Amino acid sequence: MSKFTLPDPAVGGGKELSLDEILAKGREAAAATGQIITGDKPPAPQPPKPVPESAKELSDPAAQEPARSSKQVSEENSAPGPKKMGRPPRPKPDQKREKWGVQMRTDFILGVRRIALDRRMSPFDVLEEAVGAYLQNSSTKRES
Amino acid sequence: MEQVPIIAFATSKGGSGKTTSCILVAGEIAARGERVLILDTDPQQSVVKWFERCRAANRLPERIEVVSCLGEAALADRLKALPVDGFVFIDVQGILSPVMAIVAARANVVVVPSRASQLDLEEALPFVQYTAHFRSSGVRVFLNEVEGIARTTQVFKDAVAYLQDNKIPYFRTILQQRPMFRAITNDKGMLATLDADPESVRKARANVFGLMTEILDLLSPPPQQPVTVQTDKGATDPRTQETVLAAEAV
Repeated sequence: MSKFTLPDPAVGGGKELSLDEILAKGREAAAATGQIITGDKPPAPQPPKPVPESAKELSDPAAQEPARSSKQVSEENSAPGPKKMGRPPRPKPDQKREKWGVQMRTDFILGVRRIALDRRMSPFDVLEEAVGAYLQNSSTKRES
Repeated sequence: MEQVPIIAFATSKGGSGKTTSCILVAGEIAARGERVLILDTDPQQSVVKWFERCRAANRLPERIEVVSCLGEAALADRLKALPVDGFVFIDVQGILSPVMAIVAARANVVVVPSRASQLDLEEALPFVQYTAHFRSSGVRVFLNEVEGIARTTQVFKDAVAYLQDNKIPYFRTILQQRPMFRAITNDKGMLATLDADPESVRKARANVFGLMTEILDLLSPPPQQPVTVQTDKGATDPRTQETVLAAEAV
């Protein structure tokens, strides 16, 4: 890590600063003079360090606090966090959905539905019968 | 001097002549036998390209070395490994970038070129104020690309008045607008080796020499003076003295 020593005794002279500290000082200076730093990448927030189990037990406030009602807990869990603004993300297209590429004939569907209602059958059974009859008919025609 | 001096040509205003003045002053220092390392931190790489053009034209300036140094991390690393002698110049991009923080913290002298108009100076002022968070001295504006006849205009007088009213420290030397300076930034190396009218070269070099000596003067340690107790409120402020001198020079 680079170390910088400010040259001026009047402004923190002799004090060693790291590169991050220098850049942070630059951000402060820019903000104080109403300027915007172009191409600045502020450091990402540090992830919380994992707490050892023993320390966790000692510092766990839940262990020391009296038991709370489920209502209290649910209210806390549903506490509004940072609310996402704007349009909700668009659902991704379902890749698994099969694309037939064939225009379905609505009059055929309606015909099957009408027969199924008349006969009080399932439309699938109607289709099964129709396909079976078609195959039988075509086979008899071939034989003859 | 303990470490090699670092001179930065910086401002957050583009097109003020940072690269031109950097090349000119570097050339004049190199002409006097000093080694100059120029760190080009501008993404446009103007100094690097100038150096390549000079190399192609077989007019490579002696004792000048140019190194590309893009980004604050690269600059910070490069400043850890400086040569043991000579001078280090830093040319920066004309925006307020993170590199400016390093320049403001590390350079011994920050030279801030500006055209002689209130519009340009109003943009130079925030940068000078920005550097004041790192230091209280060693940052000075100089008026650049001034035409010979422009000094008598009201615009020029207003610019000088703006510097004085806002207590902006500035160099007494102003760089004039000269075609010779443009020729140098093209591929002509440095003024000392320029094959042109000797009288014009002499005038141009004298102009750059004035700025160079003022920069070197800033690098010199202040003379030791005996401590005196000032009881007189009307004692002369050195800054006021400087301002008067500057006004006379202008």
